[in-house]
Amino acid sequence: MGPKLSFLNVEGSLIFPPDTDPEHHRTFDAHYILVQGGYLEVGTEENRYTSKITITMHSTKYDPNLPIFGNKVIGVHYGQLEMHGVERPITWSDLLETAEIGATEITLNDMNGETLDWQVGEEIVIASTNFSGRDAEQRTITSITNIDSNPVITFDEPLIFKHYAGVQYFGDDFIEMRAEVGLLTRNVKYQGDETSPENQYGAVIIMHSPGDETTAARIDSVELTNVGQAFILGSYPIHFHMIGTVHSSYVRNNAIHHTFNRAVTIHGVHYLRVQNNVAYHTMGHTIFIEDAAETKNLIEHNLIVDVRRSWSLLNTDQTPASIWITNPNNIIRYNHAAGSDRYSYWYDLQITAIGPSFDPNICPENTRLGEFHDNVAHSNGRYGLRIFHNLIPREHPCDPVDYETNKPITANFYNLVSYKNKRNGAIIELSGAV
Amino acid sequence: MKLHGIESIDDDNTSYSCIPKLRIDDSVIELNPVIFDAAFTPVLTGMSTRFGSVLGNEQVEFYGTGFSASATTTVMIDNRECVVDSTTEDTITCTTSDKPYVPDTPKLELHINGFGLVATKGKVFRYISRWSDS
Repeated sequence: MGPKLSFLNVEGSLIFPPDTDPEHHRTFDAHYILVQGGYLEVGTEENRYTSKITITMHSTKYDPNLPIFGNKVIGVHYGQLEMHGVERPITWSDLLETAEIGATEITLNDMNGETLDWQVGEEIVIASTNFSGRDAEQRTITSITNIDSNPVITFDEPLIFKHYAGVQYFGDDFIEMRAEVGLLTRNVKYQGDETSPENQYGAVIIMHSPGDETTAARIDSVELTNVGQAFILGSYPIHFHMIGTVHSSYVRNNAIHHTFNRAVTIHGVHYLRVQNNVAYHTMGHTIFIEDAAETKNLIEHNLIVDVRRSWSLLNTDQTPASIWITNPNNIIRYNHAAGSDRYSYWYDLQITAIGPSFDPNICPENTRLGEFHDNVAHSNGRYGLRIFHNLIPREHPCDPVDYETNKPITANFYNLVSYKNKRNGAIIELSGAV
Repeated sequence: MKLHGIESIDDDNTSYSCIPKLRIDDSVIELNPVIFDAAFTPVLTGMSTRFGSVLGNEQVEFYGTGFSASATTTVMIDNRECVVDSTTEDTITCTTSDKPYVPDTPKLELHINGFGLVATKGKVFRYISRWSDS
């Protein structure tokens, strides 16, 4: 193990090059890494980090805090962050057939021409299909066969819960319900130290600099665990904070598990892409659109498993959503939100933009819907989809509806599959043309 | 003479032909077509290393298409010359200059006389000091 650095200030570039031996394992330990106008690279999109690296962050809640960034943090301020592990073609899939209690193997759904590259020794999570999202189970792969059609995965310990897979027909209609299976292991790992779980105080990555495109972060195929800092607003595993447009940034193919404060926060940014991630065992709203000023962000094909109530955040985090949406003008599609103490998708639309983005001239309740289609919601404590309070979109959101000069706009929610929710599949309090 | 506007073309073709129009008062004359062709643009596809010492004096090889064995080729890395040693139609070899420590954004420019700038497609060369060197 190398030295445990205190404060690392990156004004030039800090580059971790991969080793030629894929089994080579580098460790790096620090309390603060601040990229100020600089460049931090752990693999790029074209030249990925192909050996193993574990970056571990240290500090306690009572250590000195940097403004905005806090501690136990990679902070990016007018800088560029590149983290790219080995690309995994499939980050999550689902079951072909039901896995019964006591089973030590599962069969996955058809790979559709892809090949599953999951390896023996890697960790997976099998989502709940019961009424409680907490019935998700994590296992270590002990063998894997049939990887190009219907992979059969065996694991170390028998299942405690049944995980359903099947199609039920209602006349010509049908509903497909399958427990999802997510891959939690990546070769590039970012984590909080061993004190994190006990203190609910993990590592975080925070991007902040005011101004469109002033900071770029591409976080791809990274495992983040023991991340997020409970009790501290703003200290989230991956937090884009008050930047403006971030066309060149993305959060893709990551596994974000065992967190103490959300997974991905989209705060005061537009055009961020959040795709193909697996989030598991998180606290509070997991993908979080914060101020209701954020628009045109793409949240696509993520798997979110086992979202837990947080008593150490905002009041609304006591009733958490897998994806919390405060402004409808964002794109939410092909996601599976598999188990939350309360909701999968919550359109908690605000009357104005709030927080640091406060603007009385942004009226999210009455803003047109970006996209919402082909999402799955199941195993929630309350509702699969909740639109609460209002959604009454119109041409000029801040003015009253007028059928001549300010016409309503229809909001279409397509192809939601919602099942095994303790209360309702979908619910709306007050809506216009939805 | 004025150029009015920008046309953006969204297709998979490697060339595009357009007809310039000359407008004098109210009469319009169509001129010979101008052809834009990807084959005319030299393209960088790879390099022997992405990293080099700030002390310079290291040889770097650039790989690509549409380079020239005979035309004068210049390579600038972060505005400092990488002195060209040899060129072929698909390689350029040069020796780096040194570079004092200045935090900046990397910039790679390869220019081939008569062919213009090489399309680098986001590839950059980074001056670094190795932790293991110190």
